[in-house]
Amino acid sequence: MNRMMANGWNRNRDWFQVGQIWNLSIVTVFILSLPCGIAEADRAPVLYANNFSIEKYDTHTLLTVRNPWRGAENLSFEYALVSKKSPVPDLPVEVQVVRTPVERMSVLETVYLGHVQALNLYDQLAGMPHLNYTNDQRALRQVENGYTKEIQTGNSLNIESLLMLKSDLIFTSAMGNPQIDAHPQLQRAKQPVVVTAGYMEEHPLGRSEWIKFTAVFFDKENEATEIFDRISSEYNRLANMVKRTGNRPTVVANAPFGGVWYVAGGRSYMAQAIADAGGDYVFSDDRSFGGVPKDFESVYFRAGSADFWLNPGPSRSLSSLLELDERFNRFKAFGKGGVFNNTLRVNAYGGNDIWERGTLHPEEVLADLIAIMHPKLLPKHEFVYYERLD
Amino acid sequence: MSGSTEVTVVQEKGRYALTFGLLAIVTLIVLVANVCLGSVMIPIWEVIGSFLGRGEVDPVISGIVFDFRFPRALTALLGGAALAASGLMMQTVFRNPLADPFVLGVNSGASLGVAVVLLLLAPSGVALTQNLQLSGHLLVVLAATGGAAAVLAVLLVLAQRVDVMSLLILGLMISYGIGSMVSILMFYSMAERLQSFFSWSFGNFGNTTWSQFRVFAPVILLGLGGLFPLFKILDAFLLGERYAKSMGVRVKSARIMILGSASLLAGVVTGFCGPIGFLGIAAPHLCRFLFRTAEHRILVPASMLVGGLVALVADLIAKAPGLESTLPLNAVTALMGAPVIMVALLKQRNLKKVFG
Repeated sequence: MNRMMANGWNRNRDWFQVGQIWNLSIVTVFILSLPCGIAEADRAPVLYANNFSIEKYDTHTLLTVRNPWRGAENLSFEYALVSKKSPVPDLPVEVQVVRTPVERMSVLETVYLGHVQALNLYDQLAGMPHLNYTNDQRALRQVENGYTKEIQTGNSLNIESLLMLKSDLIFTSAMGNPQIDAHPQLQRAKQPVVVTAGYMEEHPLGRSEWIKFTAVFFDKENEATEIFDRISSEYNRLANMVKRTGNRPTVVANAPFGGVWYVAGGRSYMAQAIADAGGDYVFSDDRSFGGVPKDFESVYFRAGSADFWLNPGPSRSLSSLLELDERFNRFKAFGKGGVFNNTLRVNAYGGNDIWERGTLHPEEVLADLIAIMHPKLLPKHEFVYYERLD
Repeated sequence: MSGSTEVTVVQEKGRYALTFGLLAIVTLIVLVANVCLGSVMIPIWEVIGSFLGRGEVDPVISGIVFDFRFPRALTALLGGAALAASGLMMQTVFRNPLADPFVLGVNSGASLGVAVVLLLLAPSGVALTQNLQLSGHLLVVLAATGGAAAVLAVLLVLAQRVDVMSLLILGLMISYGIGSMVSILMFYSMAERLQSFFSWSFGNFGNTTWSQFRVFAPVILLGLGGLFPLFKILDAFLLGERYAKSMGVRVKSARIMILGSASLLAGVVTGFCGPIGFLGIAAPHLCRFLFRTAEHRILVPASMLVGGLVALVADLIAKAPGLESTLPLNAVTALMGAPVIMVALLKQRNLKKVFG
């Protein structure tokens, strides 16, 4: 019976190649712009990320952030980074000035801690949020000994205590929801707030490449480039290795709650990662970027005989999954040890390091996924984020 | 003179029987439709094959029919019946057409229980629930039912001290108080936890697996069966508590019993399926319109039947047959039901007569 199980086979886009094409086109633009002498700007190469650019001028470095949240494709933020030693040049009013190198940084999400660790920015870390969800032990120790202050975010964002930190840089990301977003309030308070859009990147390496963006504020571009080059070449090596295998096991992801199964869209980050790891995502024909609500029975119909089941919510064992819903044991992956969760590095409060370290290191996530789906390719692999549920 | 009265009684009996028969047939058809239709298109012979257990049916298909759709349809039938009967009793005891199964705040108690589990405990103690060997949906069911029972206990104690109207207001106040505790919990919660709390609050009949249904069904059936001896008392209540007293009804204990069983039914349904609104207020009104009577020996069974029917139809729409997506059940019940009730009320125009 043809049950459309494998209907993703025709749409598995090859992101490695897309990345290469981007690479070429940006380099071409770069080369073309030089002889024309249009701008004295020196555009730093950005290979995978679509949402930011770095332009060097004599007086300042201009950072542009595009597509900051869903539905804001035409919106962009511009930040002029001016050295503390030189005077501020004349700039359009909408360009926000940040003086560099930054000495006191506050972050409103734990995701930036991956950059703090990689670029060794602990000395500059003035404030951080969500201590319970944080995995970075060094940052937590700094909060304990009072060097770094805890920031309340979300609904309980306390502007006054944030002002007391006297940050010269505040990183945040936004959803385009004035009820939740912090940056409008911080802008009104004349704080040096910078909105990032790493979470809007479609390609895992695009998200990782944002380390270059962070690095500019601390004059650490070379380090960042070095780190990212290592990450991307490892990622591409792994992706190329998988490309040579013909076998593509079918994969389903996420878990239902309240009878509704929010599956990752066919163009989501998760779908991307599965495709790069040589898996055939059962909803890859879907065209959406975020989560899509589906009826449980229709997911079971499509994914009941999938080989692997990834990220089934917070459960860390098959028995706790069964307590959620006893019908899970009808899935083929359930019966033959094909259920894997990214819960290996989760702290006592549910804070998952895959959102801290993992967003910077997609090559580690990819290696885990390859080891799950193609164990013969990486026989000696030790899992970083994933574990088999049993 | 007496001859014509007899004729009308006989006519009425015939009309009641006919309406009941029609409703039962429609309910049965919708029940079968709920099993046959869903997000996945399954040919009718394969549905029948799954029930007969014949070998040639794909196990995935028979799993969908037997483990997903059948318990869901039965849960909708029983849950709808329970909510409707509960709503009818509340409307009668409070002599208020606006009353629903949740007037005493059992749903806010349930949502506080669930909020504590999903928003407060879940972040800090994944380990806590794992050690108790109690997690997932069963924990949510227990939390909701427990929360509802706690509120109910408080109100039943209060019910012995005050009259019904004060009780109605006390229930309202308790609801507000508990609701604000829930909003404080929500205020301090992260988005993904809120998401799971929201999905609970949308209501869903599809969460009951067979092992849960084995608990759900007997409790509901017992609760519904317990209403049948109460018809006379309920009729008396409709004329006012003073009248009921003069008829020899021990008003206080009867009131507590009725409120207790009505809230218990509502609380159990809320526990298993989430807070399903609207059904409990709408089904009794629909029955008054269909049967044109205030007698409880007609209205109670009719409300159960209509409640089950409305729940099945709403769930069928919420499943969005043929599409992979779903709609939130609570939105469907109200969107579908509100116009029906409005038409019924406009045609009837005599609610004041019923409630005095």
